[in-house]
Amino acid sequence: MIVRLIVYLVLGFCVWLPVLSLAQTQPANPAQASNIIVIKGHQFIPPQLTIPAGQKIQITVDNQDPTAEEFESFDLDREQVVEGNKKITVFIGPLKPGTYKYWADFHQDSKGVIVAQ
Amino acid sequence: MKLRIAFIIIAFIFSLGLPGPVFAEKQVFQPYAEQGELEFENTGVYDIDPHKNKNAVQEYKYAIGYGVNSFWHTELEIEAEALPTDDAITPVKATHMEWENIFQLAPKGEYWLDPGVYLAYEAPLINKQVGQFEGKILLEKSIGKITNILNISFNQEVGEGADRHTDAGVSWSSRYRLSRYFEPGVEYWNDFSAITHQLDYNQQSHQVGPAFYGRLTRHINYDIGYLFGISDASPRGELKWVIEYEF
Repeated sequence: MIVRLIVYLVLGFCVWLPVLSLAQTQPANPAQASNIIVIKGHQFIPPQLTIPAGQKIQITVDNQDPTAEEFESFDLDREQVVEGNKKITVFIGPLKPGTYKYWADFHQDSKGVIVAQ
Repeated sequence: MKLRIAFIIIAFIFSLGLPGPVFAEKQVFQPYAEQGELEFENTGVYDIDPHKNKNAVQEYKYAIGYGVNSFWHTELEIEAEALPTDDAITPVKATHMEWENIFQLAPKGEYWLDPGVYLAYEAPLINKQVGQFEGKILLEKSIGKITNILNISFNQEVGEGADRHTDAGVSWSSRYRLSRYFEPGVEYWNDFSAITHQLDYNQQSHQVGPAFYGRLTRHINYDIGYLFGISDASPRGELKWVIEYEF
């Protein structure tokens, strides 16, 4: 009986987490902005992108190299492949103010940061 | 070199299944496909129970999967099982071949919930076994560093001797994204059995327990957990794991 009660409490908590979080972090009418990161010569340009905190943002990753690359970030919880000479859209946020690292998974020396402020 | 490493990993993954081999694959699926990703995967479940006919029940899956594009991931799997009889467990035997597909319905983060669909067909490899269609609704929501994933499953047996009732179940995973290498979490698994039967709580399978996820190296991911049975129909304990090599 106690175990069953604990399970229901854990499940109830999990179900309500998204609702509570939505109420705390997402503005009623989130503004969206477009930002571009170019991959050229296996480097991210610009290496630092500043975006507004607290908003959902669309980032276009434009791979101008002929080979595929993977835009990866543990901080942002994103992992998306972008084929050679193609573009992808990465949706991030709303983010708390701070610095979020990302890198190219196929060329791990290539790194960049997104600064939310 | 990459190929040699891949063979070593595959040999390791397959060796995990050799000692012997639950009733269902215990993997909470994320609603994503990664274009161009090739993966080898081993999934396993091992039951622990004081009753002879529920102890040491095992299921192993060996799979090869590929991200066809940014919204479709497909896998071909061989399933091996050690099944319960009245008073014992059968030896491990390859029982089914499965074609599994995950369709990502929206880019990650575009909507409040990330949606996906899982569709699979299991073809029997043994006479007197039946085939099965399986569908799942896959939902994921990240809140800060906590990732929550919900799978709602429906199974329908097909073929001669198949049970005509549709089974349903729910699985849930919540994990804390501590680091790329270690994400502690909790999983809940429920099998309602046939929807129309409306079985009592104790006749349904309910399991809950800790699970750990992460990367061992850049190419090897793990998902391991121990589930406690919290209804009479569930085994008292169940070890579950998923190991995948991706490149």
